[in-house]
Amino acid sequence: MKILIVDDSRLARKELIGLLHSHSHYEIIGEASDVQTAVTAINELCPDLVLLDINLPDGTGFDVLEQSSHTPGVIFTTAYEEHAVQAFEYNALDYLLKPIEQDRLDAAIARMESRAKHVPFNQPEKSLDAHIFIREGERCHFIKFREISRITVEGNYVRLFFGALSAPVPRSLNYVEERLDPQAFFRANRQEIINLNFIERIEPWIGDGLMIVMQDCTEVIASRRQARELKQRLEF
Amino acid sequence: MSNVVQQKEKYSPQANRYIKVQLFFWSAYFLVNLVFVGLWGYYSHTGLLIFLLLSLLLGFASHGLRKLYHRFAHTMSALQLGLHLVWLLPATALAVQTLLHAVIYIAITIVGPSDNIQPISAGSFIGYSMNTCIMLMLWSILYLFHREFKQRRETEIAHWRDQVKLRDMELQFLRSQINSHFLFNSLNNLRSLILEDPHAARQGLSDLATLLRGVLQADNKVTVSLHEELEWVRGYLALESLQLEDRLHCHFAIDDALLEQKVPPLLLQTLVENAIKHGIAKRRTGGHIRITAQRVSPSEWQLMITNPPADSPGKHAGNSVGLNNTRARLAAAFGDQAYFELLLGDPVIARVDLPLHTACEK
Repeated sequence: MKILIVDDSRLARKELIGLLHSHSHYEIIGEASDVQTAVTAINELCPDLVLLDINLPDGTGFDVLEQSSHTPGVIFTTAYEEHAVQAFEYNALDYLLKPIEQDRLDAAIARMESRAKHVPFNQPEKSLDAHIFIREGERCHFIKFREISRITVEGNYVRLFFGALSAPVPRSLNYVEERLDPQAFFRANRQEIINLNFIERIEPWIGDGLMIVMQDCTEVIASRRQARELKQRLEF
Repeated sequence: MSNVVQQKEKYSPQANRYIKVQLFFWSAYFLVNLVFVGLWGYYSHTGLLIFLLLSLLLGFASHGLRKLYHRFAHTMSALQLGLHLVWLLPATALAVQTLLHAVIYIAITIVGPSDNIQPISAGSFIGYSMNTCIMLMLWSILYLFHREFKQRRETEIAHWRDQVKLRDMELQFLRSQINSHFLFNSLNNLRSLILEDPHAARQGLSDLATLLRGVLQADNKVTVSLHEELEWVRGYLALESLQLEDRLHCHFAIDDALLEQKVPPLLLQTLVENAIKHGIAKRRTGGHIRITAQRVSPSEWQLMITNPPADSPGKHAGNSVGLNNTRARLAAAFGDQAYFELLLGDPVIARVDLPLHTACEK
């Protein structure tokens, strides 16, 4: 398992390296001390797991996840329990309090590994099982791409709909589209991408278009050109 | 609602005491009158009735005055109050006497003339009124003095209560002085340092001990010497350098003659911590922090902390709880003789002007 350590304190990084030493099958592939270098390291080194400090000089650990092009497994480390950490109520996510104890670290990594057995960390690109980190107000979510039902343009950002919730993501719709599995996601029009698995029914619409009714009862209109493509995709 | 208030007034021990005092005062007046009349040999049953009636009327009149004082006295200065009494008391006295004479007049027309009663003249009416006025004045003076005394005592109690509350807040503030993030980061760094450089780790633990002792001692002091404060600040900075390493550079320029000057405990430490937390720690490349203590005038000296701003300055507008607390603690120690200012520019400058205490003052 490839591990990246992100902490602004050299001694804290050294401490973690020491703690990981007893596990020979962990490979520490890099260290980073701020958001910028951490994002670069994640994008280039593709770690399976990041030990991520929440407080960094140029931002937070959350910023790192938001800015990286893919989301590895994450164990947060922090000096003090704060509300930021409690944001992960119903997400399978670990955090460790400094000074970090060997047992706690081992247990957290063991949990990560058992999760990784079902769904490996480094999913091939565009996999539906890859995770995405989303911040919605005070709350943070790790969701799988397959859980996203719909994506709409909202100003310069896009808004992701998942479950009964939605959250803004500071990316363009085109950027997001490139990262999505084209088998599951469909660009219905300029404004919206939908997950085909969340369609409730499809009705004819004026000018050879289609009205797609989603499971959450939202209606998405596909223009004639898009409608033709959708018909091919779904073979009807 | 008004019922409740009335009941309260009726049964509260204070109201109870007021009624007793009123009864006692006017009964005494009644008895003294009787004794004097008796001594002069003018006693009669009719006279007794009249004195009883007069005392009753005065009791009610003084109660009315009390209501007026209660309502208006606290809004006036002593002079204003005095001027108002000049018309209020004679007017009340005249009203009481007029009422009394009216009752006597009605009684005479109904029951018939009594040989015990002297005919009423303008002179005697004025004389009686003056007598009544003097009594009301005596009563008012006693009442108003009592009231003033009671109020002062209550204000004093309230003042002490506020002091206790303030002290509680101060304690809470001091307890929160040690930033938990800082504390646990330091412990984590020390844990790591034990393996890397045991000697430095031992020194780090001593620094932490010094700082913690400072926090505990600060609890019961209004001021400490600059010398002592600097020791805590150096300990604090040593621990921060474990976290920030070569991102943190410190420079001290302290006028040695000022080492015995007084500062509120942990004031400088708070400002240095702010400089690191909002400045240097938020810079990828870190920066230099400069701490100066210099004399600026014959009666003033100045503490100055200079640091570069954060890479991307946040919404930190310079009015946070910490800064307000700094101002409050300076005011508690030096009143308006101390002044604190935070200039958010590049560099960020925190400046504290403090009164200079000469050696002979100590």
